[in-house]
Amino acid sequence: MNNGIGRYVCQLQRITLSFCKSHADSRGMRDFIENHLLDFTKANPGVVVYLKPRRHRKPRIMAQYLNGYTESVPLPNHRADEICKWVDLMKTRSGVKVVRLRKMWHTDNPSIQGLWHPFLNKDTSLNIKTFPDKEHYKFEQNEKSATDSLLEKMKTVKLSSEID
Amino acid sequence: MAARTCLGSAVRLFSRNFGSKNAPTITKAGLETISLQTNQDSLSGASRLNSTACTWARKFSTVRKVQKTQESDTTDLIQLVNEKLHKDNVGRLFAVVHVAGKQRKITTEDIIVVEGDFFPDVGDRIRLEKVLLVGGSDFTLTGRPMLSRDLVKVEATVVEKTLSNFKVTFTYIRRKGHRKFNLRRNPQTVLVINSIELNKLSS
Repeated sequence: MNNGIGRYVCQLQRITLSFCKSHADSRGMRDFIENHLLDFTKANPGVVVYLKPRRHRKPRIMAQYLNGYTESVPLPNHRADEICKWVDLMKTRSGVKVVRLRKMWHTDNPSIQGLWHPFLNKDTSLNIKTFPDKEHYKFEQNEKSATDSLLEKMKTVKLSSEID
Repeated sequence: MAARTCLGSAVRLFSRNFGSKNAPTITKAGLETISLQTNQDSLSGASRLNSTACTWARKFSTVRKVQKTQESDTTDLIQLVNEKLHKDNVGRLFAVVHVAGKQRKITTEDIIVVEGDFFPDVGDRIRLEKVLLVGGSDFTLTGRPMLSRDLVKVEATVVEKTLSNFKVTFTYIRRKGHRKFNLRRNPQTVLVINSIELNKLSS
């Protein structure tokens, strides 16, 4: 799927509107053909539109795409404006079959700076260390602990007592 | 990630493998290596913010000692990135953009699907303006929170507007005669990323 990398090409090739000339459930489709179809064809000169009247059959639209995919949508008892929307949806689709997407993202270049691994940016001296290593398992304090501060206080007390 | 520096305006710059591969990248005479235990109390004012960043780095990253860089070093970093850009050998760039409430990591020719209502029509070429991060093979520019419009330009084309597959919502409470079955399809918009352009950094 390289559409849109250079320029966008409408993927809809042909659209067939089938309907009945007399039946009531095709009324919306007939209304659409009378009032809105010419606007659609003018706006989309690249799309071939076929009209297919069939007696006593449900109205439906068949859309054929450049990749060979065909989709048919039955639209009995739909109003003209609803059919407008469906036709527009057929136009904006790319012909890829609708499936559940596992990811909302596709890429051919998953990593630019290289994949992360647990040894990234680690010191190379770790390669020859034997574990458990005392130095690396040492707890590092960011702040002075209560014990330390108490010990310090004790020192000052001792000093002051010595001076006395 | 060897050194963490704050640039003047809105860009934080992480340097990565500019020189040799293993050593921390920016090692100059002017750098002072601060160990946080001793110096944190003496840090004040403007550098306080930097220190919080350092503690963060200390807690969550693999870097043991955080280097505090000076103004001159940030300008050096900017120069290095600018030279790369000038020579046109930046290679492939990637970016993190914020589109319709979600952050995506993208490079050129990627395809992303935006869920929900999205205004642009099929064939429109749009510019993704909320760029949070741009990176090349050996440098990364991070916005705080976003990079300016003048610096980066990410463009995309709307390729498809479609509906998702049918999503089932089914609720059922036993012994209570409650049963609801509903099918719905969400609108989806497919974007192709055309370009990620990076302009020169101003020092």
